[in-house]
Amino acid sequence: MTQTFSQKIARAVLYAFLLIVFCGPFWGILATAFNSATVQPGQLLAWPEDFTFRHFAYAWNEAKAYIYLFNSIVVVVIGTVLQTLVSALAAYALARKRFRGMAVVSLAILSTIMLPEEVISIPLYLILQAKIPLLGVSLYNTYFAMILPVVGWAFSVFLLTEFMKAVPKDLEDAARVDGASELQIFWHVILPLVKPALGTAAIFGFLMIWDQYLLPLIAVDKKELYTIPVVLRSMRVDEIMQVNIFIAVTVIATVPSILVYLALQRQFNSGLTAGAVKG
Amino acid sequence: MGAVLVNNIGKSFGKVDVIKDVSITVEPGEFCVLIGPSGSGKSTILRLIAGLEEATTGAIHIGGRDVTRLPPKQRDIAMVFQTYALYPQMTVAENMGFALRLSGMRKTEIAEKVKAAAKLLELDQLLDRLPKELSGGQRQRVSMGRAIVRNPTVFLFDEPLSNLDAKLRAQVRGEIADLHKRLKTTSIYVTHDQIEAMTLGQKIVVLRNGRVEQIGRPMDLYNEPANVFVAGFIGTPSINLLHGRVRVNGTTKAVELSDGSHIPIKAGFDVTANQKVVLGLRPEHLTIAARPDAEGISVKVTAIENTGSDMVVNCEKPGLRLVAAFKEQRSIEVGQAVTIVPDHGKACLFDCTTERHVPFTTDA
Repeated sequence: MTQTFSQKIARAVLYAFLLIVFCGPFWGILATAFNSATVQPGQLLAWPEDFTFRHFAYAWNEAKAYIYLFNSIVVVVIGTVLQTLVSALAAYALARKRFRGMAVVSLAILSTIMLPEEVISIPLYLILQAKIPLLGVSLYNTYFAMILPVVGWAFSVFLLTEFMKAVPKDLEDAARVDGASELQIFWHVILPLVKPALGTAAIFGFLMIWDQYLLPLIAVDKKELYTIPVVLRSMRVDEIMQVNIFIAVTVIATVPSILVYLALQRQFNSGLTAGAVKG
Repeated sequence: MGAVLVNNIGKSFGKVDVIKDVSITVEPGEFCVLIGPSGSGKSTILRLIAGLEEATTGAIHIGGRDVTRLPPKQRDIAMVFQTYALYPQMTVAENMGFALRLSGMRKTEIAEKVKAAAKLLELDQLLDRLPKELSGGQRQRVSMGRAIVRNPTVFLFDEPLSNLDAKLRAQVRGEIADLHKRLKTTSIYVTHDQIEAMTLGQKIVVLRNGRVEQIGRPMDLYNEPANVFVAGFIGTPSINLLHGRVRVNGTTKAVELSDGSHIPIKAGFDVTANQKVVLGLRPEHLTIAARPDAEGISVKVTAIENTGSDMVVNCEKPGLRLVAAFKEQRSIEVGQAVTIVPDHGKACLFDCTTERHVPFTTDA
């Protein structure tokens, strides 16, 4: 179908508008972070007047953004790996097994989505403060305090459950006849077949953990254990902190998410669309 | 190579008994076919033997060992599935060697065994391919290769040809028969296709509603079906089952059909005068009389199915339908009146109430 000139113009205007709406703020952050002149709070530049890396250097060396970045990376990497593994194991049980109380287990997992994290923050704080029996130490002020609460994530469990339900039963039976144990069936047969879903679950999990603000806030109070979202908050309320530096840290905080998305983009997209049409 | 003994086995899913007191003996090296309509329990019995389902009652012995409570991997069996069940992410070689890899065998040894099995099935050029790059027939051969490479005591086949087209089915059927001749491994094969059962099986087990209806050699089932169900299930086209009453005239016996025609039967049938019976006439045991006034069943031809090598003639008269099959071509037309003459020496007789085959005493 050939387009008329006016249709082409309308399309171009629409695309330009969408580009400005979605990319404009991000561009403003970049322009401001690389701008040498100080800006006022609430102000973003459309173009850097005097290009500089100074704010990044300050954020990295003086504000020690690398410490918080490292903390965030530790939490997000271990958290995502554990979350994906635990979700896959839970999904395997829910998708491929029949056991007494299965409906109750599903409902219990589902109910965790319905509770806002603010509601559980105080009980969670008390649990993290409590001493672990026999060990006599608490999780408070450790990386595990920020990791363990996000390891079980209902969204990830249900996403993987739906994918695992689609794996033909005969493959499981064939593996069983071939001599595979339950764990070997899970590892050699089921997991490779739900790879796109694992990628999707991992990306969503990464973004969810990377964006965690409330959990690190209640799980640690030592500044050297702060993650990027927490430190951004403390910088924002710091009156002597220049806005450009705060924005430079914001840019640093955004980079890992973008890199992970770009690296796993193909899996992410195939995972989102797989099963939508009959193969 | 080992015997398989299924002793009084039963299986219930909740309150539903799907397998009821089934006993089957498969001799070492024998090819046994389980046949029956959908829902007869044939696949469930195979899964019970494989250990994929647990028996509610009874026992299963494989190669002299009681395996009733053992998991599949300890039963020394290999199974070929209807859907092939090839692991999509593994190559042909990896699929075939998966069981050996799990058993902890060395890589070089696995490669040798896979290569030997692949050669046997002419798969050696396809070892690096993924299942999605294979045709249906090739996938089925890989599925068999995966079973062969383990050199098990028993092969279990669960309707392995049902996803193939008719031509390929005949070809793979031949390959399975050939493979069994060479390997002589005890095999249990599930199908609903009676041609597969007749051509492959050394022993056939006919099942209905989770019960064994008859066990026997293919030709025994064909010639002496135990009941109306087996008679109707074995043979293509299906046997003609005609209701009638026994008429005895001195030493001769005949069945009087609803249309009044008399079909002589062998005097050895243990029947009494006026007994209600079902007369079984196989389509291939019927001929068309040369003379219109010959003794037989007068009918009108309603349809003719000509396959080139065979001619199947459907005939009808009020209250009676007949199918006749001929190897040679006949000059018959639809609508023509003909007289069908059965080979009364080959007729089967069933009691109308019990539906069981009427005992045959002597050929008086």
